[in-house]
Amino acid sequence: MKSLHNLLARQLARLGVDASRPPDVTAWETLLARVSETYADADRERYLLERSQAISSREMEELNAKLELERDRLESRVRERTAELAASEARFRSFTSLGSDWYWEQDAQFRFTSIAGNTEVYPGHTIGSHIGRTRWEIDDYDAPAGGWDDHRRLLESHQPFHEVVFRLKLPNGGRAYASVSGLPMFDDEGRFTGYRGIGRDITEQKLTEENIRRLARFDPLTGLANRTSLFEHVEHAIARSRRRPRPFALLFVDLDRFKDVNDAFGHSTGDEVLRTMARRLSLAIRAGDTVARIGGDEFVVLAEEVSPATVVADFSQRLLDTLAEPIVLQGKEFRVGASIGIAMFPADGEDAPTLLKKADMAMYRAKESGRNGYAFFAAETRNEPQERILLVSGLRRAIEADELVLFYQPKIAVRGGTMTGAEALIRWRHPQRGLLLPGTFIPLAEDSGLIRQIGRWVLRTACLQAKAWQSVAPYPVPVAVNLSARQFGDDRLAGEVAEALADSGLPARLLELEITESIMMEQPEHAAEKLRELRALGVHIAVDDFGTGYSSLARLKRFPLTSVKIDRSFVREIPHDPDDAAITTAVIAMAHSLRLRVVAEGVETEAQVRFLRERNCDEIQGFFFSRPLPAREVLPFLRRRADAHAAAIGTG
Amino acid sequence: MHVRLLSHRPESGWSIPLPSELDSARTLVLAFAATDYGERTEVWEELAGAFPASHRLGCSSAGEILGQTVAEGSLVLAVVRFEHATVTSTAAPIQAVEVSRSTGGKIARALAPHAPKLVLVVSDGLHVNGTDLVRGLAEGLPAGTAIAGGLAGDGAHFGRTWTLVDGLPRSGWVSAVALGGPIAVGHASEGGWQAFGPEREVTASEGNVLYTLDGKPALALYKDYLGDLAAGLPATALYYPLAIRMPGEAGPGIVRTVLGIDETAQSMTFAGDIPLGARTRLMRSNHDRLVEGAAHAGAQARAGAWAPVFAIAVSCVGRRMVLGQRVDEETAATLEALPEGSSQVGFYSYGEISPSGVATCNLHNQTMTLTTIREVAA
Repeated sequence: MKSLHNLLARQLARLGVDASRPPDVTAWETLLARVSETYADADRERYLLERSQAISSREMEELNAKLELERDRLESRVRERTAELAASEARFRSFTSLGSDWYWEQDAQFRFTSIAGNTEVYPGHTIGSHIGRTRWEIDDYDAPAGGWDDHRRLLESHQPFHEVVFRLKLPNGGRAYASVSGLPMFDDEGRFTGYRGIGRDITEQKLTEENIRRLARFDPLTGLANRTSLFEHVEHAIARSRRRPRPFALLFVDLDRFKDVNDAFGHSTGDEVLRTMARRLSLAIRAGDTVARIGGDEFVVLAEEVSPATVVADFSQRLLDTLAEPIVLQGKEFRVGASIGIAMFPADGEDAPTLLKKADMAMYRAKESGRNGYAFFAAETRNEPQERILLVSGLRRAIEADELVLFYQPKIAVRGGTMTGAEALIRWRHPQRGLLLPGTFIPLAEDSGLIRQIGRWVLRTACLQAKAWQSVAPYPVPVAVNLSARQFGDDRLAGEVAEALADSGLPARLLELEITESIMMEQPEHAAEKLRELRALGVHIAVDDFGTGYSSLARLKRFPLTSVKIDRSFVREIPHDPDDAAITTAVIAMAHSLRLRVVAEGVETEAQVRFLRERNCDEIQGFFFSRPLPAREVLPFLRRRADAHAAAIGTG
Repeated sequence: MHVRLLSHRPESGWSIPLPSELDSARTLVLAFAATDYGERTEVWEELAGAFPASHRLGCSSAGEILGQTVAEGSLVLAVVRFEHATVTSTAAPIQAVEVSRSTGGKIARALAPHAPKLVLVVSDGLHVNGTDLVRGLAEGLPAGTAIAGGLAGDGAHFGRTWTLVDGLPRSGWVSAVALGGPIAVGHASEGGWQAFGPEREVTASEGNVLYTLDGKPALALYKDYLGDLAAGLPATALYYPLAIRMPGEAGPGIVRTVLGIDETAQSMTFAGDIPLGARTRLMRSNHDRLVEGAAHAGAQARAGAWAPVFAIAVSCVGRRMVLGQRVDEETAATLEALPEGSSQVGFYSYGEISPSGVATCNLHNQTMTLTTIREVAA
C-alpha cells in the first residue's frame, strides 16, 4: 500500500486501527467522521484564505482610490498655491524693478539674507554681494559719525527706522549716499526674526544740497564771502569766544559815492568799482579777518585781533585810506571812499544780527559826520578800559614828554594861489604806536579832563609857532586852532587865549579860533556871548564844518564871525552833485553878503577848485594843495607858492 | 524530580491508579479538564484524598494536552514530586474585571516572600482583564521571576470557566503556585500568525472591549471577512486574531484573541487590552506555520537542557480551531523538541501567560507557550 498521509496515519493510530485490516464498525465510523472533518478543515482553510485575499484586495483598492483622490486634491491645492506664489513674486518683482530702490532682508543677527530690485545702482559695487554679512562688515560702507554703535543699538531695539543715511565708497574712488528704511520681522510666537526694508540712492540729492550750500556762501560778483557766510563766521567767532573770551569787531563799510558812479558811468562800470573796492579791502585786511559783501555797496569786515581796541581805529582808518585812493574811470580820476561803522563784541551785542545792526547805525553816524570816516557805535569803545587808563596816562606823560606835535595844513587863496594861513592839527607821536590822529585820543582827553591841558598846549604852541613864522615869512601868516566843545564851554577859555597870546607875543589878529557850527548851535545864547568875549580879544573866529549843524541864519548873523568854513561833505560832491553845488554856491554868497570870508575844506580835485574859483570862494584847504605839514615844512611851502604866484604875475 | 502523567475520562475513569505515593509538601498536582468536570465533585474528592499534602493547581480548558495528544471532554493530571524545590500555593477572588490588576498584586504579594523562581498562575478566563492581571502580578513579584500559566478555557463555548481553589473548581478566582529553590526554568512563546491587509486605527474602545476600527464597527469587519463562517461567532473570530501596535512602536506588536461579541453594542471583547489609537491588522495563519511555531517554542523552552524536563504547554483555543484535526501535530512538535524522556502536560486556554523578551511577563494570544522545569544541583 502506498504510504498514507501522516494525518491519516495518525488518525488511524489514534483509533487503534490497522491500515492493513478493516476496522470494526465503531472505529470505522469514527475514522470516516474524522477524515471528513479533515476535508472540511481543508475546505474551510481554503475558503478563509481566498475570502481574506479578496476582501483584503478590495479594501486595498478602495484605500488606493481614496488616496488617489486625496493626492489629486493636494496636487490641485499645490498648483493653486504655486500660482498664487508666482503671482505674488511677480508683483514684488515689478514693484522692485520699476523703482530706483532695492529691497533687503536681514536675519536675527542682522546679516543680509536677501537683496532684490535695483541692485546695480552703484557702478562697480554690487549690492547683492552683501549677502551673508552685516552692514558694518561691508568695507564699502563708511562708518557713520561716532561709529556703528548707534545703528547697532537701533537694530537691537527691534524698532522700525526711516531714512537713515549711509555713505558708501565706490570702486572709482567717489562717494555715494544711500537712504535706508527698515521694519522688524517677527514669527507667529512673537520672536524677532530679522529686518526687511528698502534702500534708495540719494547721492544726487546730497551733492545738490552741498552745491547749494557752497553757492550760498560767496558773492558771485566780487568773490567775497556773502551774507550767509559772514553770519557763519560771526557765529564761529562768538562760539570761540565762549571758550576763550576774545572780543572782535564788526566793521560796516558803506561806499560813499557809489551811487554817483553807477548813475554817471553805468552798471558795468559800477560792478568794476565794486570789484576794485572788494580787492582793496581783501588786501587791506589782516590774516584771520574776514571781508564780506552783504549788499549793493555794503561790505562787512570781521576783525578778530582787536586788542588793544585802538587797533580797530587805526585799522578802520587804513581801510578808509585805501578805499579813498583814486580810481581811474574812463580816463578820469575818481575817489569813492567809504563810511565805516564799528560794533564791538561783546560790548555792543552778543549775536550777529545785533552787532550788524549797531555797526550799521554807527556807519550812518559816520556818514552824517561827513563821510570818509569811521564811528564806533559806543564812543567809549574807542578804548578798552585798561587801554584807556594806559592811554590816558600815556597822554598825560605825552604832554610833558613832548610827544604831542602840531601839523599845519595850509590854506590857499583861490586867487593867486598863495598860502594865506594854516590850520594847526594835533598829532601824538606815540612811542609804540607811532603817529596817532586826534580821533584816537582827543575824545579820551575830553573824557579824562586832559583836554584843557592839551588845549592850552595847542594854543601856546600854535601861537609860538606863528610868532616864529612872522619873523621869517614874507608876509603875516595867521594860524587857526580848533576848539573842542569842552574847551568852548569852559569859562576860562578867553583867559587862556589871552594868556597864550601874551606869552607868545603873537598879534591877536593872527590867531583864528575854529569852532564847529554844531558846537556853536548847542547853546546859541551862550555861544554868542562867548564869541563876543573872544572877539573882543582881537582874535578871528571861523565857523567850522559849516552846513552840518542846525544853524539858524538869524542867529548866525549875530555871531561875531570872521570866516565860514564849508564842510568837506559838500565840497566832495561838487561839481557833480547839483544839490551840493547849489548849497556851496549859496553858502559862499551868503557868507559874502555877511562880509565873511569863505574857506572850502577837503578840496581834492581840480574840478572842485575851478568850481570854487568861479563862485568866488576865498580860500581853499585840502589834499589838492597840501596835506597837513610838519612845522618845518610850512615856510618852504609858503615860499614855493609865493614864488609861483610871482612868476605867474611876472613879479619877483 | 518524579513525574507521573495520567488521565481521566467520564466513561472509563482513571487511566492508571492515582500515584498517591508521590504525595508530599513538595508535590505539585496539575489538573486540566473539560468544563463539565466542574460538576464532577467525586473526582476532586478522590484527588483530595490521594494527595492531601500536595499543592493542587488546575483549571477548565478548551482542550487537554497529555504528552503529544490533545483530547477533549477529559481530565489530564500531572503529579510532580520535587526533591529540593519549594512549593507554595495561593488564590484570590476577582471581585470585578476592573480590579484584575490589584488581584494580581494580591497573589504576587502572597508569593513574593517565598523567593519564587517560577510562578504558575491560572485565572478565570472570562471575567478578567488578562493584561491588567499580569501587570499586577509582575509589579508584585521580584524582577527576574518567571511567570507562566494561562486563562482557563471553556471549549468553544465561552460560557463559564473555573480554576481549582483548595482543590475544588470555582469560577471567578485566580490560583497560583510558586516554585522556588534549585530549579531551572525554560520558557518560550511562539505564534506563527501573519498580519495581512490594511492597518486600521482603534477609534473606539474601552479596556478590552473594541467598538470601532477607522470609525467603522469592528464586528461588521469580522463578519465581512468570515463570510459564511460568521454564523460561528464568537468562536470563528479566532480565525482572525488582531495584531496591535501603538503608534511609534517598532516590532511586530501583540496578538489579541476574541473572547466574546455583543450584537447590540456591536462590540467585541478580547482577552487583553485594545488601547484607543492603537494600530491594528488582521492576522491569518495556516497549520504549517502554526506547527512550525510550536516546534520553535519547544526548541527555545528547552534552554539547552539535555536531561529530561517537565513541560507545561499552554496553547491557545484559536490555534485549536485553525489546526482542527491536526492539532496534535503542534503538541507533538513541542515534545519532540524537548530532551528524550521529557513529560508534557497542558491545556488550550483563552490567553497564555509567559515571559516575553526582556519584559517579565505578558499576556499572549494565539500562541503555543511552553514552560520547562527541571531540578538542578543545589
